[in-house]
Amino acid sequence: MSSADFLALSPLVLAAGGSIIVLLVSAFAGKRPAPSFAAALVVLALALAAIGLAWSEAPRAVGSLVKIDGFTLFAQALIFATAFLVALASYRYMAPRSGEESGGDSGGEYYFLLLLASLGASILAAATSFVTLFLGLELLSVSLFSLIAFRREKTIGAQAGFMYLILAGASSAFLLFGMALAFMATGSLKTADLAAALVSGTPDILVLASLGLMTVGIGFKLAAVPFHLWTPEVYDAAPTPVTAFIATVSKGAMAVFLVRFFAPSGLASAGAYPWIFAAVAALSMFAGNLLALRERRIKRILAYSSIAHIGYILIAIIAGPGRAAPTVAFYLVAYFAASLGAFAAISALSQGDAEHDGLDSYRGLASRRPGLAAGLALAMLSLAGLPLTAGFMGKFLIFAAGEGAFLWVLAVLLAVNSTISIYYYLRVVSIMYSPAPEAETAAGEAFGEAAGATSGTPRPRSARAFGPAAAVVIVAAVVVIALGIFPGPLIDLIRSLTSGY
Amino acid sequence: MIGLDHYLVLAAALFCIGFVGAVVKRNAIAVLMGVELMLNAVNLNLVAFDRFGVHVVPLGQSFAVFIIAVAAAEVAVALAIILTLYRRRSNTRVDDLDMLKW
Repeated sequence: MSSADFLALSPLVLAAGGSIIVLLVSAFAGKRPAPSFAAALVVLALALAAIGLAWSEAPRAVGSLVKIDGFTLFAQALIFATAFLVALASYRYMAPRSGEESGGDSGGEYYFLLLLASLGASILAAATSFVTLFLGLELLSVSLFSLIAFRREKTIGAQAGFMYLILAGASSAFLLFGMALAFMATGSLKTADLAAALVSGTPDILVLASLGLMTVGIGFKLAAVPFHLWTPEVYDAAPTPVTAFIATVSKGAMAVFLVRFFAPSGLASAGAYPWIFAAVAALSMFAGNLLALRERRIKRILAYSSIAHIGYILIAIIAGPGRAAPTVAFYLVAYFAASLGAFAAISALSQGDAEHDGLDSYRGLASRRPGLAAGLALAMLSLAGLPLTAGFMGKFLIFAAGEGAFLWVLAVLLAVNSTISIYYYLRVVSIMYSPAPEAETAAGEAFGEAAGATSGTPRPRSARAFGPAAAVVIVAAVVVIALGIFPGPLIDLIRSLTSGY
Repeated sequence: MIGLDHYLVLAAALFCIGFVGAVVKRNAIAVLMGVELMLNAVNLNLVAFDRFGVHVVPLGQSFAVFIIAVAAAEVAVALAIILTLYRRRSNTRVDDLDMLKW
């Protein structure tokens, strides 16, 4: 490897080395999580800065394993920035709670796992070979198992972690079996060779079987419809910041990989394969939105909404060369910002001993915590895709891309589904802004704040004070509004970065 | 003479047995073993392709080593989670994980 290769990989190298340092810091920091938290933030900031270094070398293929280009660097910057915000939102949420035995550990390993998961996602976004695809995916997944089960005092977290582990393990076995068949058919482990074999004439049965098997693995990671069953359970049981990470980084990285697999090869217009994805997209949109209508718990609503959003992103992915990459990149920024805002607001509300999850506990939130309520409402409006928010611009671009690629039916279904989704997003907003009856207000206070209110001692002030999670809500709100009103600069930037697609 | 086909059939059979085990079994350890069986079926495939293929570089074997290493990491985390669950409810039955719909 030359020094230019190292420069191109410097964000990954920094994240990998930095995660070891964070682990060491957490081992020597005693019972305080603060040092590992600070170290993780520094490492993520350095990795973000290194994106600039890598940019000077892009586009550059390092061996046959990874290729660093503008789109990859954009995705990596998005991943590290999101991980930074998730770490901020986690700080108070993951801090040891009153009356819990922490077992003598600081919880600093949480930030190590978070770093490792974002490293896996960044590798996934750069992969051009089955080996790096598998390694990135597993680095992401194995870290997520531990993150989901991180709060050991909660049985439900461990259960969800185990369920996710088994399903992820089985789905990566499908993915690997597909890779093995592709290896047999093409004699290479490069993803581009598989795409080429598909595009050229009539692909043989091995290639088709390998793609079918790989679709299972990819669909699971995206939580697209036939493979979405884990989503509500895991979203519900995982710590809220981890849920935010799964909803954004874990799915976004796989979407970026799909774009890099599909767009340059012209696969999007070859044979029946795009139609499978079109069907998955349509099913995901409808299933996600219709199932969300009945939910009464906000994390499960967001879980179903994320299934629908993957459906929207799939439309952009099959829209073909020139359209897929810029559309997906913009949509991911908009979706990440809105999701982070929503989950950070939930984390900020759940810093007491009780989880703020049931919709009823949000009644009258606007009068109790006006700032957080406004941030959550803005995130919901953006997810619904109402004008003047980033979500609207994202959906508009997908609609334009789908229409341009003659995916009329999907574009119309997108519009129909946006309309359906407005109902459940606005229900959350209207519940927050409806006045709560006196008795319920008191109950809501006791539920939302620390156990102090019920045990008679004064509420700790920190539960109400401005914390890092609230800062994340503000950042997300600013991004959502800025992109909704002035999307031009970001779209131009994305166009210049993705010119190769 | 044992040829590539035999390996492919064996690998496919192992994969299916593992999948059925992962879906049907009610013991968390047995479910985990099913998943491992699926991963090892893939390894068998990769190594067989290397042996019978015309490829010069043993790509398949090196990929198989990666898979073995990652599977070991996965098992370590899985056993840790199973242990946590066992401490709470002193059994490892999957259908007792009733708070989640399995």
